[in-house]
Amino acid sequence: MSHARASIVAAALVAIAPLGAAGQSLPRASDGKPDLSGIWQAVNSAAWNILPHSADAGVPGGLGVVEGNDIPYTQAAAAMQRDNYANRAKLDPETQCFLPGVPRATYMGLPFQIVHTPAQITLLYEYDHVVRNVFMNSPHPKGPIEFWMGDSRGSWDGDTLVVDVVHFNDRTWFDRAGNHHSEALHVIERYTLLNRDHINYEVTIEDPKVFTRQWKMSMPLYRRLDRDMRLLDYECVAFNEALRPDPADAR
Amino acid sequence: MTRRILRSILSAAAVASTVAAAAAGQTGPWTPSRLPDGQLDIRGHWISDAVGGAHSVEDGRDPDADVIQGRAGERNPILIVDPADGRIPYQPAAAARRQQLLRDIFTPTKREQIDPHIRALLDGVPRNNYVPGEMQILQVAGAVVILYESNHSYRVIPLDGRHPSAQVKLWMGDSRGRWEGNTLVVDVTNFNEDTWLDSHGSFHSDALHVVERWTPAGPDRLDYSVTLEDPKVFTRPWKMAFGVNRNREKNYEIWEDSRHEGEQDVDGILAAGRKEKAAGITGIHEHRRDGR
Repeated sequence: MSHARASIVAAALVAIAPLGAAGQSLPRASDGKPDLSGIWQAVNSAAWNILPHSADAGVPGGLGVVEGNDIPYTQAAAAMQRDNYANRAKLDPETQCFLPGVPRATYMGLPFQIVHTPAQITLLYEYDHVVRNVFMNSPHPKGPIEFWMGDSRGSWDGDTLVVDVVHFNDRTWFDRAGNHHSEALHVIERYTLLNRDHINYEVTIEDPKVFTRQWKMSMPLYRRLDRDMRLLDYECVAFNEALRPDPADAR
Repeated sequence: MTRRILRSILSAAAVASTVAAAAAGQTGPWTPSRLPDGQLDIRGHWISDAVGGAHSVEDGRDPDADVIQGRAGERNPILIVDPADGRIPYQPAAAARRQQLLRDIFTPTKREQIDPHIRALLDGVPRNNYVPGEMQILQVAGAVVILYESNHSYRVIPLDGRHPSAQVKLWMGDSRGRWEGNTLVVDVTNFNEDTWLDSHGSFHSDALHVVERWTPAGPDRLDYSVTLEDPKVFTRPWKMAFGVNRNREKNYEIWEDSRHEGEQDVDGILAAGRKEKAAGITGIHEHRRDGR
């Protein structure tokens, strides 16, 4: 079965490769870099579980987005993931509408918009009106700082936008399956425009407190071509409010 | 001090600053620069004059908070420039509802009786322009983007296209812009009815229609005015106006404002409101002011 999955992934890679190699010119921004402007969305089931998983009620099955289909947890961190999973209905920060963290914001299943300017590339997410400002060619501020979405600094590696993200807290998850990290998380995202309508999105994850080595996930991002496409809102703070326990019930 | 006197002091101050600018060596009219797609360049970090002064869009600052914060007597920006009495022209039924909201704010027993801003909900338009925090304007071909520091909210304002179907309701509405000469005119519709214009329960319906006008008045200043119409609750369109100044702090960056994640006030406010109401305490949210 894992061989079958590996060949599906390989076939998908082969299918994507010619898109970039077809000699089709990439749209370029005023700074000469590939123009990432537009509304994008991941189309997969990583929101539920970044690892391969079978379908369940309300949960589409998924081939997984993690390279090698394995997250190299330390023993204690693996136990914590199992506990998170068992208690996910209560513990998942998504259920409280907390900011989703990086890279989870990318594959929540809602679109996001990239606003591309030379000095600042801003990502606007429909989910919880999350904003990430990627400041180009500038250093991370001195820590310790604990942001929900981290501090994002960008640079170009040829035609690939590389975003280095640090200064996280330890309260966000990678998915609804309880995959987690500590405040020592270091995320490196690589956004490579393959053609006008596809970005290859690759993420390297490091966290010496939780993982025994660095690991990667990757997925394509698709341009939303819908007529009159625009970001709408998903104000989960309001949805969450309706579900919050009433202080009167606590007495 | 009456509103009219305050107004004339403010206009005098505006004239004085113009004179001072002229005296400082500015000769001839200022010419705004343009971006490749023809838009006037209004990029940068900005903060509105009304920030901190819009506890009530009708009455300005919260004088009680000013006393606590040692700012008593600070300048109170006038927001409503039309009608002349500076009050929101509510229809009678809407005025009664707002009066009830002011009573509910005094002893809230339900979450919806607490200011949506305190509840970490989106502020809507135009309120996001005058709640505490700055804003950053980005411009790309065919669009203006406003990033607000408060509650990490944002607006993408396309310079083309049509509003979506009226069935689509949005916390920040749907903004469509166009340049009329040197003025960015933004037409905003598709609102829900869950945001307030201030902390005084100044509500609107989902029929709210907002037209903003952003006009560069100098390299570091935008004149802002906004017309609000809502045939379900207002008797006529009305207008607020204030200045927006460039934040000249070098290398300023908007950092994360995790307002909802840190929100710990609402349950306490609700518990206190219910306790007081149960004890027979009722009242109205109001401020004592000299001469009123």
